[in-house]
Amino acid sequence: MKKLISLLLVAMMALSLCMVSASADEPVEIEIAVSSLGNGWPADLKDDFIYQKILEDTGVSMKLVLVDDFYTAVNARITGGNTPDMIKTDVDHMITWVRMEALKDMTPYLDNELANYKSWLGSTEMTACYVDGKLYALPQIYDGSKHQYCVTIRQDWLDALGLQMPTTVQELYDVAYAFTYNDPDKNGLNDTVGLTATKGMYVFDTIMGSFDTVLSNQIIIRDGKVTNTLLQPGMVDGLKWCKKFVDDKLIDPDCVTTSGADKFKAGTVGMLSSSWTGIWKAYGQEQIHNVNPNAVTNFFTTLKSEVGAPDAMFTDDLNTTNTVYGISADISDEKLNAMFKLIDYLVSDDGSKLVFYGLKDVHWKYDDNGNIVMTDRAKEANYISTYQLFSRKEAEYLNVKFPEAKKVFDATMSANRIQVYNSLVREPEEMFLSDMESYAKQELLNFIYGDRELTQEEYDKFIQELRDLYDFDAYMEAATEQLTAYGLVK
Amino acid sequence: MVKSKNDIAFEILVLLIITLVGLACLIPILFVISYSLTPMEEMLRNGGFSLIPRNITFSAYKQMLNDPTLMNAMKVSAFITIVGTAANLVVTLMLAYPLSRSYLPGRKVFVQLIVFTMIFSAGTIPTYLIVKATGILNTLWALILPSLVAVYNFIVMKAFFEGLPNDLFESARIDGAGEFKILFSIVLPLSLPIVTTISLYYAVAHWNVYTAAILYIQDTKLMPLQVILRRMINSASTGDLNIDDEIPPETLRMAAVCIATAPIVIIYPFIQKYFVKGTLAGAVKG
Repeated sequence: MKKLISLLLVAMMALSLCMVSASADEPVEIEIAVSSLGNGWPADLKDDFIYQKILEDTGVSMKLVLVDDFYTAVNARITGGNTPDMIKTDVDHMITWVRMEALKDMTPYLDNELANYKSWLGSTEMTACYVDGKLYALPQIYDGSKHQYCVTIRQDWLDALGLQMPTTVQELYDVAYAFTYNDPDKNGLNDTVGLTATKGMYVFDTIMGSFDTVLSNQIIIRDGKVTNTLLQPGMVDGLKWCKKFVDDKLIDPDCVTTSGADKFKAGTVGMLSSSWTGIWKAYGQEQIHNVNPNAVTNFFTTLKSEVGAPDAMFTDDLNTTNTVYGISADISDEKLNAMFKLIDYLVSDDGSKLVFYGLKDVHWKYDDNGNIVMTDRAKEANYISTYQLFSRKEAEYLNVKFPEAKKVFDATMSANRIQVYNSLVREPEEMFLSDMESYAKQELLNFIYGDRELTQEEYDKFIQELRDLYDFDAYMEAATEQLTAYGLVK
Repeated sequence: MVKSKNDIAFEILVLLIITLVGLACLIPILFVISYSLTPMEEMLRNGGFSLIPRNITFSAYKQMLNDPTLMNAMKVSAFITIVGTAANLVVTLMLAYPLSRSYLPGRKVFVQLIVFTMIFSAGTIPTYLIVKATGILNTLWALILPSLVAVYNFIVMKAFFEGLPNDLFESARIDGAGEFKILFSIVLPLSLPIVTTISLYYAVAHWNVYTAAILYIQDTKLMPLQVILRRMINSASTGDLNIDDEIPPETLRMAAVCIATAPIVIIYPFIQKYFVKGTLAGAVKG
């Protein structure tokens, strides 16, 4: 018996070793390591119609490989000399890998093999990808996410209570108060709350926007000088408002740590600060109506400023490059050429439509006016967004894909935001930026929840702590220096 | 014996505590099962909590069982668990038996060398380099071969063998048995509890393999269950480019958890008695 097992083991080992050695004649394979794939990603390459179409059109096998525990695994592969051909990452990790000499310098190709890519981007926002004057990664320019935020509100609750859409912080307070205490759903129970959010501090940023700031470390420019949202003069007044909302229990108590989207959908919260996508797409609306058939949702994007600044809510980072694609320094010439071919295809008219909408005449078609419309089978192509390596023409894309939410994304995309510059700023090397940010977050919450006295003196003391303990001054100096170098301030 | 009031009060207290502890273990499991069976809208209406589902739907299970990825991962996990555990047992047995014999020259040196690896391991990158150089990267053998012997299991097994009465070996030898004959005909039948226990240790470790898989495997088709499960549970996406994604309802994830746990839950009761016995044997003699 044991002999049999060991024999079996040896045989299987030999077999699997044979399988490892690749046979010739196959298309050039480009492995792109990513940390997430679209939901519903096909288990088998033969079911992946995008992969098949790209293979057919370019002869390149474009393999998006999901790597779990991304940075542990990718670091192991880089140090082990087995770097993926292309890695989807962020700027910080890109810089680390450049220092490890793991990424290829793309500067020489930018005006030749990558000329089409360069003109597709249509902007020169590659600054973040340069290290020591050399381009080490190809950016994905994407300006959609910053434009997604709005506050969704239950219009039927407003109507039931005879209230208007809030336009100032005071009105927001009044509406939240009525939503919490005046039984907006008329079920006779005191079971509703005014305001929640999907992500951490966003619930408070809804209020802080009127004070020209947000509750996080953001580099801004005011009066031609580089400064920080934490240093804004309206900070203490804004915090006082936040505290008032919290003290009167108008804010969902769990929303700093967990998303309040489900509570909004369930009809226990009247306002939700979030990206429009989860709520306004047909799927989200369907969920809301399944629970409350009479629910009517509406939204607003800004409140009136209390400090004489332009009305704005949430932030907008000038630099939209947060995702970049690094290319392995060990890549062979054959693979590199295949990669250029692939990139050219993805930014071509055919290729880009393929990765945006799916197969022509299967998932989308042109209507009589020459506009792209999705077909009944469009849902099959929901997973393909990971194939959209580079930039996307967002307004057109949304119009085609989510016509039902047009009024919302039109409004969120044109809404005024607080312009920030964080992604252009690299902190001094000896500084631990994330430590400072988590300390700041903790203390700001302490102010709001009454664990720290909320006065101007105490707030100044908090800023002094950031200076003494976390090198805040050095960070701001670095920010000034770098933004000056970019010509954003004089 | 007549129980005093104090005794009865004490017993009630103990029962109460045991019931509470039992409930604390049971309720999360019940919650997961109930969630997987309740329609999403029902769940939203209940504020996301329901222990006994009122409307039952098996749609989440249907969808899960039709998902080739999960089923494939099940097969992969079953393969590495069965083949891996068999290989582990053979090698651990062959290592532990000779080193348990006091007449083996240099055995202390070997044991010390082996124990050394338990305290100082090579680290991720060197191990990765060895796996790569062996040519088993991106094959299932990368999940089996590097962990062929767990030193702790080896020590437990060796201690058990050392505890067997020496007379047995002597009489077998007098009857003309060789070392292999002694190992397979005498030692092995006597060591069933420890073998079962160690198999279970190994099997659970293989079933739960995660880190090795994310480091050494790149092909989704070769990914074991835990990795796929984590992907399913993590698959909620936030804003960003993937606005096309529809986050799978929580019910689906809960169903995935139930399906993934089921095999181990089913097997456990059958081997539990060996498990307790074997662990004790190892502990007392070790």
